[in-house]
Amino acid sequence: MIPLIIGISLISFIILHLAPGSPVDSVAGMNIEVSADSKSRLCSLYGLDKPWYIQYYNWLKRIIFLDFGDSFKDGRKVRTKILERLPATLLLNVLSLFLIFLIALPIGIKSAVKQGSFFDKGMTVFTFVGFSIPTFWLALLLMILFGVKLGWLPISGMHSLNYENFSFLGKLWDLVKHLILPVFCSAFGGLAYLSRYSRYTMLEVIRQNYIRTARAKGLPEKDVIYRHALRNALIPIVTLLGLSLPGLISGGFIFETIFAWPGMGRLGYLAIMSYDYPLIMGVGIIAAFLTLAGNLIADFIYLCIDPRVKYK
Amino acid sequence: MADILEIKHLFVEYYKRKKVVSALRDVCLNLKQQEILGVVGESGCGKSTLALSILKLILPTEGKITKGEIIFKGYELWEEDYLGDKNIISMGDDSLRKIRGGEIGMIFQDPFTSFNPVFTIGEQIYESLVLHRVGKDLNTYSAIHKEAINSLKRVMIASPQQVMNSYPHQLSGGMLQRAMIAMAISCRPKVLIADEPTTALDVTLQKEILDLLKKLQQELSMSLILITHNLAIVAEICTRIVVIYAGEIIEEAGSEEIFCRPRHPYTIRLLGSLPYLKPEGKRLVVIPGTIPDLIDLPVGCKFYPRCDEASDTCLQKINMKEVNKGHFVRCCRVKEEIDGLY
Amino acid sequence: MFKVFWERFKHNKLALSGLIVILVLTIQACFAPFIAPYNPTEQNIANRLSPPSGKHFLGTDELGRDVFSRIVYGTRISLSVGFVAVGVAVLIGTLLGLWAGFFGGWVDNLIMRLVDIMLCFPTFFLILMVIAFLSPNIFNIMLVIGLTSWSGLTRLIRGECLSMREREFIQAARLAGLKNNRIIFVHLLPNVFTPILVFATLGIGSAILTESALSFLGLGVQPPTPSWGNILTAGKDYIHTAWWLSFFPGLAILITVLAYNLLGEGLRDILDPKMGDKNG
Repeated sequence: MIPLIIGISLISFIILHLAPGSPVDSVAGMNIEVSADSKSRLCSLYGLDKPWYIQYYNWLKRIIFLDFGDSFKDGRKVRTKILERLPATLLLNVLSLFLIFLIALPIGIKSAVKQGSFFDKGMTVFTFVGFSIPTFWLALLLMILFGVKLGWLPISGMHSLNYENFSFLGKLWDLVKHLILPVFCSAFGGLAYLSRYSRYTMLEVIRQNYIRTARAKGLPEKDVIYRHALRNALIPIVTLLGLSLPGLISGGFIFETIFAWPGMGRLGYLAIMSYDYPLIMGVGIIAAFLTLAGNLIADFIYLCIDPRVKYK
Repeated sequence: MADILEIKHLFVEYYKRKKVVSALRDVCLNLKQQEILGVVGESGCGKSTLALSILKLILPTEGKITKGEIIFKGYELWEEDYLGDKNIISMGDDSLRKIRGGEIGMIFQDPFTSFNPVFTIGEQIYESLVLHRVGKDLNTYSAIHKEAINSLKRVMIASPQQVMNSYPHQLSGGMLQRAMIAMAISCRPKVLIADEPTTALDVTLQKEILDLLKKLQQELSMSLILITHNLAIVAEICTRIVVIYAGEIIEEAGSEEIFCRPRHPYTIRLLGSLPYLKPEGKRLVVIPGTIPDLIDLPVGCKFYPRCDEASDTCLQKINMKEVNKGHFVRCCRVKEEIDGLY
Repeated sequence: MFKVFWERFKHNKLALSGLIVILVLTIQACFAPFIAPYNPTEQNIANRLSPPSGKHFLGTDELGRDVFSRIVYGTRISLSVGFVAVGVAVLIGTLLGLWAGFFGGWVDNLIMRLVDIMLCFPTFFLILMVIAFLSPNIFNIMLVIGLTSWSGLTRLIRGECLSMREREFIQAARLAGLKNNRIIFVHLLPNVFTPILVFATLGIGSAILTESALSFLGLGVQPPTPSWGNILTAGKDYIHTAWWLSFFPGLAILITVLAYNLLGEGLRDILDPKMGDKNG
C-alpha cells in the first residue's frame, strides 16, 4: 500500500515537473511588469530552484506529517482546503456506491435467474446504453429536464441561497434535493457495469455443481438462489467494489464541476486550471488514498465472506 | 420385492446452440425395493441425464423431459405424510422438494465441486436435516446435531466433529465423498442415486466407497442406483444391470446373467474390453468408432455403424425382446447364436 | 477460419449493426466536406442559437454555426482520437503483458506493480493534469489517453501467457533453442489476438468517451475546431435556451460508443465462447 502511494505520487510529481508551464508564471499572473528578479525570488521561496528529486524528497518528508504545503493561489494550507471539501465528496461517493449496490445487485440476480426473459433482455439493453452513454451528457439532459423545463430540482451547488433560514428538516430536504441529480449521474455508469457483472457472476454460479446439490437436497428455489448462489456470487462482486472507486472518483471531477458541487473533485479541477502545484498533488494523493482505502475495505469483506482466503 | 420406482417411456432433450439433442429415448426401467441397480454406458450416453431426470434436476435452460412418467411408489414413511404413488414429472414444487433429498437422495461425481465452498460441511448437513426431519422426529438443536454426527459416523468418518466444522476445501476427496454420502443418507431416503461416485477419486479409494455404499444400502434397507461407465464396479455389487447406448437401454438383466450370457453385441464388446475378463492369449477387444451424434439419429439400431454383425434388418425400428427370464435385449439378431466371440 | 468467423458474425445481429454504424461513421469522417452542408467554422451571428429547422436541421450554436456540420466534422476528431489512443494502449499493454507473462520473476513483479498503480490511480485526474500542463492539442490527448489505458490489457495478456507458458508448444519452442523474442512474437502473440481485438474495439469506445469528457471540461480539442465534447461545453452555457446544442452532440457520442461496444461484445461472444455469456 505504501509503495503504491509512493509510486502514484512520484508519477504525478514527475509529470508536474516535466510540464513546461511554471507555477511562478501563474502566481505572477499575466503581469509583464513582474521582473525576472522577483520571479527568481518567488522560485526560491517555493523551493522551485532545486532539482525535481530534491523537491520530491522534501515534499515526501512533509507528507509523512500530513503537511501538503500551502496553496499557491491563496496561501491557505492545502490540508485545510481539502478537508473542507472532503465531506461533500465522501457524501456523494458513498451514496452513489450505496445506490449502485442496492439497485444493481437485485437487477443482476433477477436477470440471471430469468435468463432470456423479457426483463433480462431489457436489462441487457439498459447496460449497453449505460456503458456507452457519456454520463456528463446525461447530467446535462437531466439538468435541462428536471431543472429547467420542470423546475423540480436545483441544478447546482449543495445548498439553496436562503439555506440558513430553513428549519432542520428543511435543510435536510434541501440537501436531498441537491443530491438527487449528482448522485444519480455519478452512479449511472457503475450501475450498468455492476448489473451486468452480477448477472454474469450469478449465471456462472448457478451452473455450478453445488447448486445442483442444493436443489437435489430439496431446498426451495429462493434458498438455492439467495443462500447458496448469492453467497458465492458476492465474492467476486465485492472485489469490484474496490475497482469501481477510481471510476467514481474520476467521475467526481466531471460531475462536481457540472453540478458545481463543492467537493474535492471540483477543487482539483480548479487547482489544475490555475496550476496550483501543492493543491494538485494534495488532491491526487488523497484521491489515491481513498481508492486504496476502498480496496482495503473490499479485501476485508472478501476475507469475511470467502472461507478459502486466509490471512496472509 | 415390490417396485419402488418406475420409469415409463421417458424422453429427454437438450438444447445446444439452438439444436435439439435427444439425450434419452423411450427409457423404461423399474427399481425394486432394496436392490442395487447398475446403469452402465459410455460417457455421453445419457446415464447422468437419467439420474438427473429422476429428481427433475435438468435445468429448464438446458433441456427438458418431453414425454414419459417417473412413478415413485411412496409408502407410509411418516404417519402423517403418506405420499402414495406419485408421478415425479407432473408433481408440484412442494411435493417435489419432499421427494428430493427426503425420499430419493443423490450423490454426485465430483465431491470437490458438489459441496458449496462457503458453508461448512456441518451447515450443509444440518440444512438437509432441517428440511426433511424437523417437525417429524428431530425437534431440538441437539437432536439435529446428534443425527448429523451419527450420519458421519455411519460413513466411517473417525472424527465427525472436526469434519462438521471444516469447509470443503479443507478436506480430501475421499473424505468429501463420504461426507456427501452422509448428507444424502442423513434424511433416510428410500432410494439413493449414486452418479459415478468413484470416478473423481483415487483408484485405492474406489473400493472403500463402493463397500461403504453396499453396507449402507443393507443397513438402511435402501434401493441403490449406481451409475457408472466402469463395468468392473457394477460386477461386484449390483444385483441387476442396465446397459445404455446413445440414449436407449439396449440390454437389461441380472448381474450374473449379463456377465455370463451377454446378448447385445455392444455389451459383449464392452465385456471384452475389460482386461481381467480376457481369456489367456487373446487381445483386448476395442470397439471401433464413437458414439453417434445425438442430433440426427438413425431410426434403427444406434450401434449399427460400429457393429460387426450388422445387416439391413438393423435399420428398422427395434424393440426390446425378452430372451431369457428377466433378460431383455434391443437387437434384431438376438435369436441367432452370437456368442462365438468368446 | 475466416469463413467460420464470418458465418457466426452474420448471425450476431448486434455485432453486425455495430459494424454497420461504424462503417457509416468512418465514411462520414472521410467525406465530411461533402456531407456537411455548411462550413463548420463559418460564423453567422445574425442567425445565432436558432432551433432545428429546414435550413439548419440540428440548429445553430452561439456563434451561428451549423450544428450538424460541426457534428459531422467532429466525427473526425472522435474517431481518430479513439484509434490512435487505442493503438498506443494496445502497443504498451501487449508488450508489457507478454513480457510479464513470459519472463515471470522480477520482470513480472515490476510490471504488475506498475499495473496496480495505474489501476488505483484515478486516471482521469492524471489525464486532466497532463493535458493542463502540456498544451491541450489533439496529439497530446491521443497520447495521454493511450498512456493511461493499457493496464487492463496487460493484466489480461499476462494471464493468458502464464497459462500458455507451461503448454507443450512453448516448451517445445524453448527446447528447440528459439530466441525469447521469437517465442514471444511468433508463438505467444498470435494466441492472444482475441483478447487484444476485443480490448481494442471496446477501448475505442471508452477513449472516445474520455476525449469528449476532456473537451467538455475545456481541456480537449480547442475551439474553433469542432469536437463533440466542445459543442457540449457550449451547450452547457445555454441549457436554458438551446437544448439542441446539448442534445445532438451527446447523441452522436452515445451512438458511436454504443456501436463499438456492441461490436466488441459481439466479437467476444464469437471468438471466445467461454468469455461471454451463454445467451439462449
